[in-house]
Amino acid sequence: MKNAILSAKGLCKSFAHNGGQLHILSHVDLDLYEGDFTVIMGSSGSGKSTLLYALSGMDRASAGEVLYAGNDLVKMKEDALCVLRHSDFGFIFQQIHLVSNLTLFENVAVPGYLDKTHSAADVQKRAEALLRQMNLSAVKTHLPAQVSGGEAQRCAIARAVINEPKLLFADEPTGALNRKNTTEVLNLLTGLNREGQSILTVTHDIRVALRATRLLYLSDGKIIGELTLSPYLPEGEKSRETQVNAWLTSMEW
Amino acid sequence: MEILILIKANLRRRQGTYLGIMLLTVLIACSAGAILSVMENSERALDAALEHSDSGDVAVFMSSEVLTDTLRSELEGNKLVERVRYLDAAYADSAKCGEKVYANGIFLTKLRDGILLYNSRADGFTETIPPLKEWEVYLPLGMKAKLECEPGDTIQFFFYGKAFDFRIAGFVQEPAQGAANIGWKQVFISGQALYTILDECSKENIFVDITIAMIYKAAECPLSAAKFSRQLNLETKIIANAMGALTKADTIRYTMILWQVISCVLLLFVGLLFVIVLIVMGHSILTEVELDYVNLGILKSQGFSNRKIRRILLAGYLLCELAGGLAGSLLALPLSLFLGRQMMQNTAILPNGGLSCGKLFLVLLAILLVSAVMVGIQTQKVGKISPIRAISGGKPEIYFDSRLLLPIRRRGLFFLLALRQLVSGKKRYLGTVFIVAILTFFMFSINLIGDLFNSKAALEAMGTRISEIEIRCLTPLDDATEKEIEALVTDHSPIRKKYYTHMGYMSVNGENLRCECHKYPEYINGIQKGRAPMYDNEILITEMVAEILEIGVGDTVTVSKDELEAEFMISGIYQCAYDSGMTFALSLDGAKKLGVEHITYIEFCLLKPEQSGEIVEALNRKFGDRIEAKLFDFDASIMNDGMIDSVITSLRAVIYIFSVLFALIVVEMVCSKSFSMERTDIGILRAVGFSVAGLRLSFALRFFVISLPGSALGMVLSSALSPRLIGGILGMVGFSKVELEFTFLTVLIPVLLMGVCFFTFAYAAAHRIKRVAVRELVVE
Repeated sequence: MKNAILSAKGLCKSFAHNGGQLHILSHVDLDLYEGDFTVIMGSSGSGKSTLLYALSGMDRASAGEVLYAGNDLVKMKEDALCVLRHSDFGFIFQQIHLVSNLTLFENVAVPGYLDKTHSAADVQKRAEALLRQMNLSAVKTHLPAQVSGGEAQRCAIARAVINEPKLLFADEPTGALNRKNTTEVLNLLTGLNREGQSILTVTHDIRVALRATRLLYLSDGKIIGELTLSPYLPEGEKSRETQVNAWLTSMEW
Repeated sequence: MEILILIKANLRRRQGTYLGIMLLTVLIACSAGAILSVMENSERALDAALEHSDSGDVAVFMSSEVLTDTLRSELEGNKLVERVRYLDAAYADSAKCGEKVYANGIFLTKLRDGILLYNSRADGFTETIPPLKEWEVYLPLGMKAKLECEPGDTIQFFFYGKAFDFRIAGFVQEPAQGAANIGWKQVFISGQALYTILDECSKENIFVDITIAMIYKAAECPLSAAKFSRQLNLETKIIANAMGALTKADTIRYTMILWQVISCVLLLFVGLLFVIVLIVMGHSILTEVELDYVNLGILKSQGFSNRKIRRILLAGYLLCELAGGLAGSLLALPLSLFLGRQMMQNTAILPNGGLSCGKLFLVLLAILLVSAVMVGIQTQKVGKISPIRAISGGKPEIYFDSRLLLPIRRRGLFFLLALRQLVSGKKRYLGTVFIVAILTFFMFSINLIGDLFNSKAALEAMGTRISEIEIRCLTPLDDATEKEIEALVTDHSPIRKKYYTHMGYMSVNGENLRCECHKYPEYINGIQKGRAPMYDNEILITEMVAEILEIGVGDTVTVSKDELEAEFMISGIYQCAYDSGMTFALSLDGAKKLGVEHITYIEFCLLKPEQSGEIVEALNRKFGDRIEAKLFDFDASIMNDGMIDSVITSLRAVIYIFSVLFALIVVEMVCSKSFSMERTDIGILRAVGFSVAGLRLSFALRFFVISLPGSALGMVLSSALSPRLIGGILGMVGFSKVELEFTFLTVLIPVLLMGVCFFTFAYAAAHRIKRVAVRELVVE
């Protein structure tokens, strides 16, 4: 029996639109489990990113609750959410979003400095190690404008895990990358998951879905399907792809 | 049509920027309009008042005994003169009302036509002026503030010891000598009281019988009032024989001088504020082009030429400047009324109302023209926008390199992030640095002026006599008494400097000047060129006298007093602010040639100033029948009753308030631009866990840091330019060369003020960070 690390109950999100309300998420109930690589898929406009941001506390749900460590993120104060963002959660954006005037090393280290549980020296050591792991040591003093998209996204992953988050969120992490860089990023995420990192990602990309241990399908703001998979192994990719494709077809993807 | 649509769209889109520029223009137009209007209105009002009071082109004050029939006929028969009006007067050497003393010459004359009585609010005149009862007096408004008196109060006039009491019946506009910074005053009493005073003083051999000769220049005389008076004096010696004289030009100069200085300072400040507006506009255009790269690129791809796009930007800025200028002009009206009332305390002339529309129009035109040129230059960058790059993603990514690239560490994280933002966008903040430099430069300058007038050492170096003890001689002193006095002083404290002087008026080449006769000329302060007049045929003149009389060191001049005259050589140029620089100095030996036998005033500078009180008591005890000793009143010494002090305080307040307002608007504008440019970075930082408060702190720190090099640059500018600037302004009152000294407070207050303002305003402006949602980083 897996432990739920984060639970959403009756989660709703709506936006004001043309004088009325546009409902994006409608009473979503969801548990995320420790050690899982959860991937949410769905068609465009299904509310994937909205769900991701509501679950990660980056955005507040209109109704319902998101429970994490006994606290409801929906009701949590902004300052407490800030602490949560740098201490317990990590986040990877589709558009990479590194701070443009910080070097790659600084982009990774700065969130580390915010979390006072580790000394500054430890943060620097860990940032160095992560950059090495991401194969970025040679460009660590470069600015984001001076590196490739793949390098920048690897740096963003390093930044997201600098504080050893309990849960790593990723919004279309390969959306802005070419094929080669996509594979590199996915290998990194898979590696992290293998080391025990819980991950929740939303994607359109079947290649990402293949790395999941749990697949969820979102349609019209509701989770309508779930597929559990064994941990990813490169040699089993073909049969995995067939399984996932079949499932996605059944979801009318 | 398409241009109009885009101009409207621009105005809507960049409301904040345009509003900021408009507000800055409002402040500039309002202050420039008010200052120029007040000056013009006051000058006009003074001209009208002089015309109405019929005071003549030159007023000569002379003992009635000296004004012989021969002199009268010579004067009246002179071809330069149209007519002469004679007024009987009694000369009082001081007046007292309650505890307040007016220690300057006062001419009590009969009330005459042309004098207007102020109403109780002093904002207009009564229709008629009631005749005076025997012991009633009308005072010029300029005396009201000095004596802090009201109608109904009793004022005592002193005639060399003999006193007469009068009841103040009201305050009048006496334009010739009414201004607060003209020492000699005319007050108006009944004929009965005047002749009683003259009779009673005459019985006691007190000579106070004066005639004021008001001389009118002949219509065909081409000379200016000043040259007319000089020529008349050369031809008739009327002024050389007089106690003093005042030309119409002197009246205008002395009445307006203080406000000319003030308006000069303020107009300079306003001019620099306009430079700030130009910098802000430049910054705004540059960031706009960066932020709007895509839109501008699209416009270009749709066939809009560079010139058209630049015209659209130009129209937006000029429109908001025009709106600001018009709004400022409207606001200038109440401000000019307020300033006019303030100015009245000094000029004692009721100013005319209304705006100086012609000058204001020229100011607005100049603002628009200079701005148009500035916008034209700055928008050249539009030409570099590539439609292709704009359509494919917009502006290039940030890349920068700098020696100031400090690594980001946990210790001082927010400060280091602030510094990084600065370093990575140096060009964007360069304008702000210049703005702080301009504001602090002016604040330093006004502080320097303030310090100057509060520093005894600086004033002494500039020619002012600053002492600890001053002694008025009631009778001529012989050498033995002078030695005894000095011995008594040195028993208590060594003497650092001593001034044995007599002050009066003499003519130099016909020009009536204040004259300082020094027994010990080696102690004369403020010699700029040449040396002290050590021999009895030498004089020192001020730069202003040299300029007006077109004379210099080594030249020979004729100095005359009464019937005596002698040739003197100019031994040097010195600085002296008395009579606004219309002064000369000579040795007592030299003055003896012109009938001055004794000194009448002694001042001592002590090495032990704390002994002053004791010395004054001892002097009055021992020599009380021959001298009157008192402690030197520094506050009342520079100009009448600390007027300079209050003017500087007001100027300082205006400059500080405007600086804070400008800082507020500039910080708000620059912050909003920076915020727009850094919105994504702010979102990322919030996403990785930075709190809103932390990011606001970092934003505020960045602007605090900007204020530091700005202040440093301001200080460099100030040390290079302030002496010349202040010398130029104070040259109007006789201080052409100033000794400035940067003190800790001179520097600290502006630096601190700018730092605190920039920090606080940036922190407040950064409230927008709250509005940045991390969701904005999401691309759906």
